[in-house]
Order: sequence, then structure tokens, then C-alpha cells
Amino acid sequence: MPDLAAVAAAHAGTLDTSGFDPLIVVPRESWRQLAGALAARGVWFSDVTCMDRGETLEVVALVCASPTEQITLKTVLPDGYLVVDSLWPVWPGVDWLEREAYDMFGVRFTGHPDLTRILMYDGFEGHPLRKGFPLETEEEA
Amino acid sequence: MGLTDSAERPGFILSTVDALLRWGRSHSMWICNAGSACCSLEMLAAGGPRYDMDRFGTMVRASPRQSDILVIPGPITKKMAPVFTRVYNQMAEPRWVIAMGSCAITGGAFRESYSMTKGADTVLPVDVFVPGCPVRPEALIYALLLLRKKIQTTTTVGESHREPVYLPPVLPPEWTAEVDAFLGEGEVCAE
Repeated sequence: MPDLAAVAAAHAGTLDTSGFDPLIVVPRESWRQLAGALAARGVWFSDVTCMDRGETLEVVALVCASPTEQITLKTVLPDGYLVVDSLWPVWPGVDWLEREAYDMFGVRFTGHPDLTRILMYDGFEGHPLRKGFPLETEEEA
Repeated sequence: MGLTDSAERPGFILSTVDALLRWGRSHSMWICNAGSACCSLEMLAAGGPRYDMDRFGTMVRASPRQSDILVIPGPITKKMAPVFTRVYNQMAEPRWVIAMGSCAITGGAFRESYSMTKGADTVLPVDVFVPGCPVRPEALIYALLLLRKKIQTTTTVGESHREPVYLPPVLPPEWTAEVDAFLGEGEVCAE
């Protein structure tokens, strides 16, 4: 496990070790730099997804320092401006996961090579896992 | 084939050929191996040694070109609807469709989802609806026997309108008895 307190402090973030896994929350600007710093210390990613909190939307990345040590990275986006740096230059494997997060939540990852819908069909409108998405739709295929 | 497109009013020769074709088609109903969800496992179980669909000429084929029946075993999402339509269009006529399970009939538990069609009949013309969640292999076998009767009593010469058949949610005892008699194994349906 790398020195997470130093990594978080170097990227204007906070470290919370009270939970089950260490949690690092950083501002949007240092999202990719944090991932790059962790990747340079041998950390690899396992998942990238989002959480819609209503007022804000959180981009969450689960990364692993070893097979038994998992770290949670998080950045908080306001509802109106859902843009964050893509982690694709750091871990190319986030490709489809960021496409899914874009498809379901509408977060635009800048620097992603092919940010198109992956689960829904191309003509679909809206992002279905957002809180504001209507629960029941009556449109036909 | 050409006979299906010609002769709105078939004469004696065509009607005799039609009876022969119906007899042949009803005894070699090959299923297209297109599984969309968990009901496809029941479909494969129906093809396994315990139920053995193969005994009445129903085989699961890997190619739509070689199959007569498209079983839709599960929900059709809006993204998969064009795929199932394409598979259906690749099958040679005459072709039949069985909607298997609650999801294929109405959308089931996922009906109000953003990604689901409201049933397979909004996408394809369905011949037999089999309820269940999932459908037991006996119910699928009964649907195939029902479809066999339908094939035997429906002309394939000229245009023919096929009415869909709806199976009840719980099979009546006389129906399960029919499947039991067909399977030759009385305790299967008694569970």
C-alpha cells in the first residue's frame, strides 16, 4: 500500500480511512493526476462508475494496490457541469467503463478516445440512471 | 419455397402436396439457437436427456437458415430487437415464433424499464405464447406439441393468417397428462 496521505495531500485531496476501504476525495482538476500518481506506485484499477446524489454527481474509481487492498477514489461534480478528465491515458482498460458511465449518467470524460453509448442504442435520448430520468417510459421500439 | 407464394386457391395436386409438407414440417421442427435470457437454459434443459425434445424431431440448430422455429426465451431489449428481427428474416419460410416466458410475452418484471420492449409480439409475429418465470421444460414441450398441431392444421400453400395461441399460466392436468404420456415419465410433472 503506497503512502496515501502524501498522495492525497499532493493533489489537494482528503484521505478518509474510517471506512472499510481508504477513500480519497479530490477536486475535479486533479482527478487524472491522482490516478497517474497512484499508477506510478503500482496501483491498478478495477472499476469506474458514478453515483447520482441529486444535487451533485460523484465519479468513483475503485483501484487496487494489491489483491487484498482496495482504495476508493472519488471526485464530486455539480449537477450542471458533468465534465471530468478521462483516466484512459493512465489505465486504457477504463475504456468501456467510462463509456458505460457516460451512457448511464451523462458524464463526459475529456480525453477518452471513443466516448459513445455502449449499452443503449444510438438513438436513445437521456441517461437512464440519473435521478431525473422518468421511471416509466411508454415509447415503443 | 415457390408453392407458398403461388396458387391462392390450391387445387387437388397442391393440396395433396400441402398435406405432405405439413406432415413433414410438423415432425421436424428445428429451433433456432437464439437465447436472450435465463429461459434459454430451460430451453436447453428441454433438449437435454431428461426431457429430450429430439424424440419428436425438435433439434436446436445453430443457424437460422436451418431452423423453422424461433423461440424467444426471455426479454427483448430495444437494442436486441433489430437483432431478433434480423434472425427471423434469415429463417426460411414457413417459420414460426414461440414467445417463451413472461418477459417475452409482456416484458414481465422489466416492462417499465427504459430499455425493454413491451413483449415479443411488438417485434415479431408470435404463434404460441408460453407463460412462466421461467418456463418449465414441460410447458415448452406442450407449446411445441401445440405448435405441431397448428402446423398440421394450417395450410402453407398460399397466404394464411395464423392466430396466436395463448397458454394459461398453469397448465391444466389433462395437458400435463398429455406431456407425461408423451414423455413416458409420470413423475416429471407431478413435482
